[in-house]
Amino acid sequence: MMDDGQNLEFASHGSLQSEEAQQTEINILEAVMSGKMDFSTVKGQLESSDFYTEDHQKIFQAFENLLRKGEPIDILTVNNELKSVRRTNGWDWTQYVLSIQDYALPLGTKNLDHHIRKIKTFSLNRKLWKDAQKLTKAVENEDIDQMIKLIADISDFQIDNTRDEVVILADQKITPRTWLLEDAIPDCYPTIIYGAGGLGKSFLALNLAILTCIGGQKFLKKNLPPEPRNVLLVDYELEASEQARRAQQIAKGLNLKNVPSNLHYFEPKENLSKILPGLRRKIKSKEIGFIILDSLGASGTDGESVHDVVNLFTKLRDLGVATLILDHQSKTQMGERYDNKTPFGSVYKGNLARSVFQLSKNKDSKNNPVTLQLKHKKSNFGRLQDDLIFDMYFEGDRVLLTESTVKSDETKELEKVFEAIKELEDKGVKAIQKEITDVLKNEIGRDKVIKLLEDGKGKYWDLMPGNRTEKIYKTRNLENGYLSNQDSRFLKEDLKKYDVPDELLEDSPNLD
Amino acid sequence: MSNEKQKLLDITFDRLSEKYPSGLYEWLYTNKIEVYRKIFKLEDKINENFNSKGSVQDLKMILREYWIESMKAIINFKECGHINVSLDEARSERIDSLETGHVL
Repeated sequence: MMDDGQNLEFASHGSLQSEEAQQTEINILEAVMSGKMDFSTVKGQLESSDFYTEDHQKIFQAFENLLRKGEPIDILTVNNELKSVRRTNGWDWTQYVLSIQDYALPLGTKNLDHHIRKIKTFSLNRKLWKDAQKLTKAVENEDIDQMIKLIADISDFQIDNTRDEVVILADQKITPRTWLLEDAIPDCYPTIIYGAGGLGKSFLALNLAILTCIGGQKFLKKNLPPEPRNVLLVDYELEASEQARRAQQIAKGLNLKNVPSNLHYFEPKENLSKILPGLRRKIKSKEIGFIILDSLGASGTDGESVHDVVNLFTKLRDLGVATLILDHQSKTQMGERYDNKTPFGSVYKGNLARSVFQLSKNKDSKNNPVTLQLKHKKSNFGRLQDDLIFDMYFEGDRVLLTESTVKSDETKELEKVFEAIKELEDKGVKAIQKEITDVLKNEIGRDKVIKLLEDGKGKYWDLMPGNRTEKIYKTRNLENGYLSNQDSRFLKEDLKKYDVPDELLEDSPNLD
Repeated sequence: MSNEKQKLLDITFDRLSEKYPSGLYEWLYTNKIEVYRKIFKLEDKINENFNSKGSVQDLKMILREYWIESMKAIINFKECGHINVSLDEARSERIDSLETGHVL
């Protein structure tokens, strides 16, 4: 796989796995030499014998020597350390060490541990394979002693492997989490935006893509990466000319003369699983920092197959860059609610993505602008975000996305519940669930009220114990600091809406 | 501190009085008694804070809510545009209730 003349001999138990093992090793060796990863972390988890090729084993041993001598580990010191060591094929080390940089894939810091685990797994598989071959021979030769010994060795391998995966949490380095879109799209992991067809998912994705290409931009007050990133649009839905037209509309909406030159387009001819190895090379060669896949449903992946979905998401995560996957959802059937729908197909899609949003049209939306809301359905890295609501304007040859002043449907419903509780409090009636559902019986269904009562707890109201099992809802009021609650958009908005004098605001200066 | 409290009260009442439409209290009393009670309670809280050692920040909080509730009532009243009973009749009934303490 390296083109400096070294032809590696793949083991007979599967050349693809061997190739993947070598690529993973190269990624880790490069991460250590470039300083992305502290070698002392790697050393605790891997040994030189875990590496597939002898050359990689020797490079790893060079790392160990340098660490022992207290010297820095970089291309120069490693190359110097290897001078006294013979390469497997007798060739010079310099070219090989330099080419590691070229062949390594850019890994996010989050994924390094995953690659270490992969090397360990490959290593274990090779050892098991060798023992399995020996065991076959022992069976053929009816050598019972050898069979018993080998079976014991295989069991030991499994126990050892389990032990390797147990780490001391206190020793783990905590690195700051990075985001493509602050608190919404995590870096290095897959995020899904799903919704009914024709809502504007592709325009939204293009808008994010172009803002990311520019660098230092915000979307709905959320930060995008400060530096420009190259973006790759992997498009199974539209042709390049149509995407170019849409990108131009978005660019004009952002007051740009042209579509940024670092926005790349790729229209695959094969299904996603097949193109992923090639995609890795594209990511490397074009230095891609953000991938948009439009759409998963059209990519030829069997969305119903657990195996396909798990395999795909693992590979997407291994790409090491933020991936935004657009996906469709199944049509709403009679009696179903739109916001209860999940991405179409296997439940694993939602489970394996680290952040999941549902795109829907706001109930108060007009035809132009269309008011859309992104509802955060899942977040592995932090609390769910409030609904992101934006207006999409279609104005001739430009499309503009701006933050909307329309409240989310849920906020409006929470406000209704808040008013209902207030009304009961003012009447001197205990605001228990039954009373609240009674007040709202002509506006919001009982089940929905119960859900909203749970959602608004600690934000709009608190739950107080009543008689016996009775639970009383109490609106957050002046006594418990409701007005100063940072999370309370409800009253914050009121301050502006009702033109409250500046002198009365919490942070206004003293009047004396 | 009382000087600052006084200034806050003046700002609130002066600016609100510019916005109060005639007949608001009477309309609230006859049509929106819960809102009337709420505003009444808030006025009590304002007095309580002003006359005690309540902090300026607390007073600001109360005044903010008082302002918002009053503005909501004003908008509501203007949207409705009329009261169902004669203003004088409503006013005397409201004042009677204040004197006899029936409202709260």
